[in-house]
Amino acid sequence: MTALTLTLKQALPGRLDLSPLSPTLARDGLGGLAALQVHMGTRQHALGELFAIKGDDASNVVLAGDLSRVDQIGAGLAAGSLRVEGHAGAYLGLAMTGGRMTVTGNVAEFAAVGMRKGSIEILGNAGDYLGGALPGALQGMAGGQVVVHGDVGARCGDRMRRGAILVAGSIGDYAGSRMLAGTLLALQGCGAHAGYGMRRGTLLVRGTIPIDATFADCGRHVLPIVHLLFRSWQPLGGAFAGLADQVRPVQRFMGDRGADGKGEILHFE
Amino acid sequence: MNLNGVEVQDTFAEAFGMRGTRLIITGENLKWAYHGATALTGFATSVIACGVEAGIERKLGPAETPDGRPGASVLMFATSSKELGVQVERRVGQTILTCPTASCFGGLSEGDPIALGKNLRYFGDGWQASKVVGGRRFWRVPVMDGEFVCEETTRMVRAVGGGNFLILTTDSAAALAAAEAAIEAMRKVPNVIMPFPGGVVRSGSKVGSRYKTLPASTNDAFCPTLRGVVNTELPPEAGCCLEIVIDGLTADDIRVAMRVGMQAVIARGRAAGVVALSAGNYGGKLGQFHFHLRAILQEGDTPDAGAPTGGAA
Repeated sequence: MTALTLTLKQALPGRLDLSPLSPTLARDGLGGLAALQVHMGTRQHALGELFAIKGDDASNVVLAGDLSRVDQIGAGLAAGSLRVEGHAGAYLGLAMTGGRMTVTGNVAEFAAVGMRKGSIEILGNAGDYLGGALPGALQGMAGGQVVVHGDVGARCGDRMRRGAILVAGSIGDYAGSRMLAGTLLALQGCGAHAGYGMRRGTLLVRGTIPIDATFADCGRHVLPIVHLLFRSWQPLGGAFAGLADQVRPVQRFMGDRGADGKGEILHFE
Repeated sequence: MNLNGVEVQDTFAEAFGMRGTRLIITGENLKWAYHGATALTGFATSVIACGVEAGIERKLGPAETPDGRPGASVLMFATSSKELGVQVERRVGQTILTCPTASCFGGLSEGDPIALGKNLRYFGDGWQASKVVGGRRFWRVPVMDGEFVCEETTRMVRAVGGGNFLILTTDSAAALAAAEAAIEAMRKVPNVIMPFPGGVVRSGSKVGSRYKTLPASTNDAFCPTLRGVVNTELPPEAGCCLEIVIDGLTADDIRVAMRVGMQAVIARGRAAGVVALSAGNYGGKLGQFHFHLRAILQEGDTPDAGAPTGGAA
């Protein structure tokens, strides 16, 4: 069996909503895939009209072409693997419940929002609200793991409930805002107001991070749990591989004291 | 059967089904990991009065533990799942939670989960926090030297306890030397522990006694000082007897340990004062596992020797 490959035939004139793809493949397999109706703005198109479809393995999907205007890639993905060759639009992996997704380029806003299980690896950068909550939702990402090898925008992990977001680069402002629990790692610092309104959870940060007045300095410590986390990230390779090589003391700040205050920012060099 | 001048008696050890678990204890260094593991497995020789039988299986290098620190692997066995659960929590709470720098993790990947840090976490008085790493939940409890890290659960499996053999020698010195040689060899076998002091027990028992309240009493048939007044099972030249008791995760593990131990004793031979090898049983009526000494020695090396069950971490 060869990977099911969908190659965009030409540049899109508007934003395409690809949310029906993964649930349809899981439910119906390849039958009628070319005729699957997808929305671009107010108009419907058959999938085969926009993509050249090759291959026969519905559990191993590759999307190719300039997909930066394609939203909700892998929305509702429950199993199997999905690879995006190039950039991806917004809401990548929305409400994903399993499986494995890889993006070789950048992704736009709201990736991994409502994600519950599975893993997403982004080789480029990610936009705002990565692993966050949809407007009005009480919880953001609630499980699984997102790995970003580049940088991430603002509000990463907003209202995050569970799981881990690991960023080799930096995170913008309000990293882990209103976070309920889970783990956020940034290896090249964070912007302003990190952990704003966080109740529980961990922001593990190397590099520059301005600490808000609502976080209490709890001193410098060697924490076994940090090493346990580092070791679990070793197989990811890249910037994550060497973290466990040495004992790394962390400066622990607890907060946000304006919220529940049981969260923590762990800063290390 | 006579090997190197040692008579291997045609008898068998009788063992029982138990519930077992493996815990991984880590620390800042091996010294503190062992302080914790030693306390955890203290006073755990026999389920008769200790609740569990426990022992240190082996030391673990940093690459073998979840948190990358040196540690020790501990096996614990009890007669019921309920008792094992009670003992694990009680002992970890009193010996690992209290031990500087020590952390505690489950060491089996299969079996039914039982509470490890699940209830101990409340010691944190609201400051406890958890992290899920690779599908396993770890609790962090603030303590005076930093944090006590403890996995939420450990796995419990059906195991075997009470495998044994008796070493009959000319005198006490020969018995100690033979038993020590056996234990040294058996400590290299994975998935087993020898829970008695130094791995060796001198007070083998028989079922029943002349006292109503005492269900077990001294095994007079093997007591050298009574040889003239009881129906002794000691050969005329034997003046001392020591027993090695083995608990293992599977019957095969016990078989391997018994063979390795008996071979070490036989290697010392009659010249070193070893007279015979025997075993403790209850006529085959009580335990569901029978380990026949001669059959075990004739089996040769089994292919599973040296394969730890369930992984170390």
